Amino acid sequence: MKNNFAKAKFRSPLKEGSHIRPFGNSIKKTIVGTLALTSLVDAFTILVIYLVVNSGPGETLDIEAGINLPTANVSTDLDSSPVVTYKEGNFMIDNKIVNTKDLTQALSNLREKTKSLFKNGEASILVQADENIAFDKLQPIMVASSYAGIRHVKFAVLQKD
Amino acid sequence: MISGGNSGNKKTLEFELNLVPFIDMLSTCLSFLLLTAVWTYVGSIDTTQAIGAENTAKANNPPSVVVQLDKDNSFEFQLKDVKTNQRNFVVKASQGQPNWERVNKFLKTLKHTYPELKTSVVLTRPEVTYGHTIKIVDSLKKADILDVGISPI
Repeated sequence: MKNNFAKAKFRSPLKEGSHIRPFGNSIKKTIVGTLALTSLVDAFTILVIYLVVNSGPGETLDIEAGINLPTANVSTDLDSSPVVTYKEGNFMIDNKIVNTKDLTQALSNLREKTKSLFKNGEASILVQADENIAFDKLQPIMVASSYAGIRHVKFAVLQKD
Repeated sequence: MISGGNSGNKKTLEFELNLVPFIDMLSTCLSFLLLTAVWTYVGSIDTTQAIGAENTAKANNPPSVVVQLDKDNSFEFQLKDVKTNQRNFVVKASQGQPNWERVNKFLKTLKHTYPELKTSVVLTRPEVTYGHTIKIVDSLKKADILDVGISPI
């Protein structure tokens, strides 16, 4: 009776509230923490589906260092057109510098080489250049592509939306 | 894991799926997709040009608008093969920069007035930047004038 009274007197609300060892008794209890993993799996699944769906168009373009592409609202996805890059006063086709006077020949060769890539046999090229250059710097490629029989000249842009 | 089969009266069937391998797989997929994701979308603006020495003088030309960006960043628009009295329009620059807002507005009105307008030629002076040239082509395409060619002056 005396012991019971003592226990009742010194009962600690803090110890009673404890999840680890309620009532402060010395009996060893195993602690099993269960983490709700279902919601985590749900979130991961949603993220994976989102990333797969929005993984972008098939063709990608390596933007040359030091080139700021212009931006555009109305642009089409990239296709497999050969890329012609204008950088630091040089035209590059397949990462090789081509002299301005040899551009027509180089584009004609490129057109023959990549004939199978084009729909309806209509050749096209993709021009990559910095937005701040004067447009007349690109005039040689426009003229050369015209003489090489390339009707469609595409310009690489950053899509705004 | 199926647990149950107590010899007592109440039989519990608790089905617990081991989610850890799923999380592993999804984490791997997520990391791969995040690393290989394309964050900057590159597209292309298409232009069409005449091949070689094509002669279009006697051809039946469609209604078109010729756009010229001058070195003071003002725009001149000239309508061709369109039944109208006023053929030339000018959109002046604003503080030395092209007034894109007015250009877009003008092109929208132009397309609304002449819905048959689908072709355009952009004439660029040597001083005009590549960025401005692409922007006017973009504005034309935005106004549903889709067949655009570029011709350096």
